[in-house]
Amino acid sequence: MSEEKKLGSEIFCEALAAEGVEVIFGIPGGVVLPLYDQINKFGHKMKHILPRNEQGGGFAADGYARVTGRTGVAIGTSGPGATNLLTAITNSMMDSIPVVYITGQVTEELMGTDAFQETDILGMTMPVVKHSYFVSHAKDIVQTVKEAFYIANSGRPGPVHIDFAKDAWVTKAHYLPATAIDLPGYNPLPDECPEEEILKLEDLLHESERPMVIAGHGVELANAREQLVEFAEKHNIPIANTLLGLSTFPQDHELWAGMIGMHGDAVTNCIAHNADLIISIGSRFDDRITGNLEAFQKDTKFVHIDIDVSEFHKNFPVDLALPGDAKEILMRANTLLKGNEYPSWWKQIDEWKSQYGFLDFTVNPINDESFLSQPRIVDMISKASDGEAIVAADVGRNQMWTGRFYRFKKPNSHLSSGGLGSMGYGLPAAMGAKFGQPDREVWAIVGDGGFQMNIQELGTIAESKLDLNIAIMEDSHLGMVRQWQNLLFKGNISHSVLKNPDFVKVAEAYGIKGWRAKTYEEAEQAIAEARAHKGPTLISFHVDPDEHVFPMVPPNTPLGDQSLKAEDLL
Amino acid sequence: MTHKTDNHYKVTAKVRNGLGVIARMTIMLRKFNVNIQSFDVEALDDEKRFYNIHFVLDSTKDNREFEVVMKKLERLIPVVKVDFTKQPNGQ
Repeated sequence: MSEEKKLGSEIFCEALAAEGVEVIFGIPGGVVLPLYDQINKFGHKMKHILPRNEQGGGFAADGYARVTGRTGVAIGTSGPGATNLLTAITNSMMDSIPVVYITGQVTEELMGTDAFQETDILGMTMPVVKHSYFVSHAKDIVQTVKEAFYIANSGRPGPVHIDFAKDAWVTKAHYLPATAIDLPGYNPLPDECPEEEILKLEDLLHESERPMVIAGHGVELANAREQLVEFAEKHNIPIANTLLGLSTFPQDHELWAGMIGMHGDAVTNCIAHNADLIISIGSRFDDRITGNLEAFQKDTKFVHIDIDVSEFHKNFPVDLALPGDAKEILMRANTLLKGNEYPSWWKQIDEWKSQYGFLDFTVNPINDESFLSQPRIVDMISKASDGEAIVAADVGRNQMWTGRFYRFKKPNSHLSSGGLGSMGYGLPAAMGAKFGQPDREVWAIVGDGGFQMNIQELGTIAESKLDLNIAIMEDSHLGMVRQWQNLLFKGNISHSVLKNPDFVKVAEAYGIKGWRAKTYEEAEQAIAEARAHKGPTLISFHVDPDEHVFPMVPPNTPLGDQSLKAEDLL
Repeated sequence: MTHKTDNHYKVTAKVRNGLGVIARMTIMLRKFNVNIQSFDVEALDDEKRFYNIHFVLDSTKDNREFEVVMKKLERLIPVVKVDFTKQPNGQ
């Protein structure tokens, strides 16, 4: 042990570098200042990005992780810095995103005294993390960081939180490499699925007349796109996606069956409602997917493929549970199973496509031609970027239309706050994605409500001169709230109207080039100019507040009873 | 007390010792509205690395739902293994 002891803060930076961390999103303050006294000395190894709010930093780390498959890192100081991270942590938990969240804590001596900026952040995060640690001495840092990164990005990924007492940064220890990870009971992968279980899928497919696959985020996390295509083609089976599963299957493929759910495609929901066999891969039967659970289950057999065995039978019992990584199970199924054909089922699906329209944003024409149509704008961005961009949506109508009408060509390209549905996600997530994939085109498609929840990140984007395009769907309303109030609350528009600033001027104040589009000609030109511009851009599209997202499956309603137009609900 | 106590379970969870283990478990049980009647803790080795935590729980969940809760409990990182048995009503 020849080396001198090092400060915990230095050991921590070395431990991050040893994990291959290249980008950190963090804000210094109070008890993490000893860390920040070291972190700028590691600039040659790790880029530190200063978000304007810890929530923005957390969402950025989440977006970074989604597009790179690597573990994101976000830092906040004790007290408000830590509590500002809570929403981002929860978001990562709900969507199974590997992020290591670092918070500062007051010294151990002060803990429990209600010291300045003391919060029990470890207690607060416990329900919303995959795991968490508390560290109060330099000697424990290396092993803890090693375990945290391992847990975050193994098995079903998720956020890991480490709360560091200030003592951890200022005590000294030798930098010793981490020992082997020893976590009895933590089995990232389930026991290997027996072959006879996978063969049961053959019987179910053979007996079925109307099968479908619902491919979720787990397919993306497993990098199983190729295996899913092979499975689909072998069995000639329709592949629907969940919101988070979009971009797991080529959307120009004839077997792609659209997005399922509350605001999914009408055809997709018809397929799900009438299917006699549903194979869910890497999806957890969220209520937004199933609609009324009783109707969803009626006369249907279910196969559930998931890496997390605790998801099996959670919301209802399934007929066949196949534990494992989606890629591994699909590879084995592709080898073991004989192919199938379902010609009459496809004939029915084609009839629904004719009846309802499929992937067609003109099915529900806009009410007021003086406004722009949001789905048409999404379609324009999709065509302009040839489906090659990374797109981070916010939450609400913009989110649903981005999912429905951006034709994703590449995996790991669609970012959305799926489980938590956190407004304010889109802008910082796009920012994190651009840091992770600097050579790819990145768009944030956001509403004016969500945009203003993390508008401060314009500062981070401008400072970093990120070549990132922001599309604001400006209708001066919380649009999805307005839709629900219009359709489900008898038009009582209660506190969902926004008085916006001039977003173009706001952008310009940050040095960001901005456009305002009120016609499709202006929109087309702005999109083209924004794409050609090197650096951040913002376009405010003047969209219709009363353009509703259809279909709409109201809560606890069968997918088969989806509403296709406002009159169905009024 | 208005909590329904339709089903009673005895649960033994083998856990690795660590900060907040019991808190993590009770938070998970609360998420599923499972009520803790009692619990006790038993060290399993001299180094006090592993413990058994014995819970008596009551829940309105059916067997399938309760099994899911136990699987979620077992997914917690410090939890090594969970065994449970349903008790006859009234015990």
